Amino acid sequence: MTKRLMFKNIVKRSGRSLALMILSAFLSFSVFGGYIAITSMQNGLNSLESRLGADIIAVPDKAAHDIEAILIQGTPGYFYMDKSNMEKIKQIEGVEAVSPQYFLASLSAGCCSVPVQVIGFEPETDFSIQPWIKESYGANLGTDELLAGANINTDVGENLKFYNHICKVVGKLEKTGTELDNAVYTNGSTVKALMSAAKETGVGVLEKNDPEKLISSVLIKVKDGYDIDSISDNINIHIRHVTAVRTQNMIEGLSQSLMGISGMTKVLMAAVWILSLVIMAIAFSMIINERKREFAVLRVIGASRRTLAVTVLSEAAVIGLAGGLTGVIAGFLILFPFEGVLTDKFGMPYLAPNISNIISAALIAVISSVIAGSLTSAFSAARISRIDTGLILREGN
Amino acid sequence: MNKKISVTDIMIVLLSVILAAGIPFFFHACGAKEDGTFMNCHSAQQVIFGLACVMMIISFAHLGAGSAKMKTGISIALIPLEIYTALIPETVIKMCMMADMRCQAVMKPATIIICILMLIVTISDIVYQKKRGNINDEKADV
Repeated sequence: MTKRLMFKNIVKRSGRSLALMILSAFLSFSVFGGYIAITSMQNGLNSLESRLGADIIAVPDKAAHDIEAILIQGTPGYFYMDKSNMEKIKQIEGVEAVSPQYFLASLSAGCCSVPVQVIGFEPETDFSIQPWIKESYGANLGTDELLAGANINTDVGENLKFYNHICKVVGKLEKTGTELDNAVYTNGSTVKALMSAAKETGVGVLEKNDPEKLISSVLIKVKDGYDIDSISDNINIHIRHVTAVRTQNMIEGLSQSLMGISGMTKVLMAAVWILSLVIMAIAFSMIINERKREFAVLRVIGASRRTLAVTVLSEAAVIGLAGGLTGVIAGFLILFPFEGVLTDKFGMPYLAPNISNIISAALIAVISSVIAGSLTSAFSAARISRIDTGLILREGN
Repeated sequence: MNKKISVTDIMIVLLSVILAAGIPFFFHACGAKEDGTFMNCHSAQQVIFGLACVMMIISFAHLGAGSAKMKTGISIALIPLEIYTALIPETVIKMCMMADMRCQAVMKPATIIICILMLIVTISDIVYQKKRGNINDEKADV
């Protein structure tokens, strides 16, 4: 009887049930959405940290902001310095390994009107990009072959044209949730061929220089036991026209932003929860007042106090469950398909958690919504189980 | 004529209006290139808009239809349109190159989600109308 009574009450008072369901949906959405957003940004930041790979990046003077723009903000660009700087850096005490990188920004590629960042590396010395590449592409890159970042909408085997030079996409990299997903990666010889092609089309900085003698940046790994800051200072003092940037400093700004966003999200979640719980508790209390006579009649026809309390509690739990599921479904429909928009709005690396974490978050959100529904109605359920049937029925007369 | 407006009637109209009005104004594709020409995604937007208008007209016809059988027929006609519209971004017409470009980040997911929601509501409507038709038939027999 309790089950039938509960469902009939929910269906017959559909407006009221819908309003309570929407509140529950807000609760579960805030739990699910808040968790997924914060975890995704944290994952993105961790991913960026591991992808940068080096302790220090040395770039030409005045390009310190450009390297951040390329690697962190995803603004395609290029800058060059003389290759001999790498040898000078190698001589500095405490430097364990160095590897050059080459940056080139395409004018356009295929149908797309936005420039694509081309990042070149030397397979013989690279310790930053190759470990990541190996996760999705086992072979070595040949001439005029490139690997596309996860955000590049191209298939393996397709050709991409940069500065009238055709390259073949031989693989697609795993998503990192960072701006590095918007770049294409190739080896040193291919990127030099692309630089020569760019030179022919009149790219300013390359016009007067030989691409063979240029590099964009030097990735530096510091030996254990050496202070990274001291080595960075050494490079800045002893090597002219070169600026050394600690990768940790590049990420620091993002870490602070993440802390700010995370704090704000938690405050918003708390506000949504407090407001919704108060509104739901008031709503249930009003509903019980309104239904006093109904419950009194039920008592007269034989329903026990426990049955009445269970009816109220289970109604709230079912509404909480429906609302919880709605909130989680809404979360799925907003957070995952519109990931690109969220990344853009937050201005942070954004990498969704793995499927088991997503499912756990969804379950926790639904369960917390059911518990919230039950808790807010618990007081009303306790009150209804103590009603004085005779008094209430007499009140009506 | 047994005319009754159900939740599914309203939902189908609402979703088709959101798609038809949203595509040109809220979740449109990428803008024109610097030289004034458009990319592939612009053609996809035009096709989706056309199909969304057709679906909107059909959904109003569904709303105005009286008998359960007629509503069922109109709902069945909507299903292939909804599936095809959902397939336009990327499968039928290739979108732009970068995942963070507007056509990829906004137009594609919005179109697919609205079409999937419409498909779910349309299938629910067919089930509901079948039930309604059976009840009406039973009443007629009595």
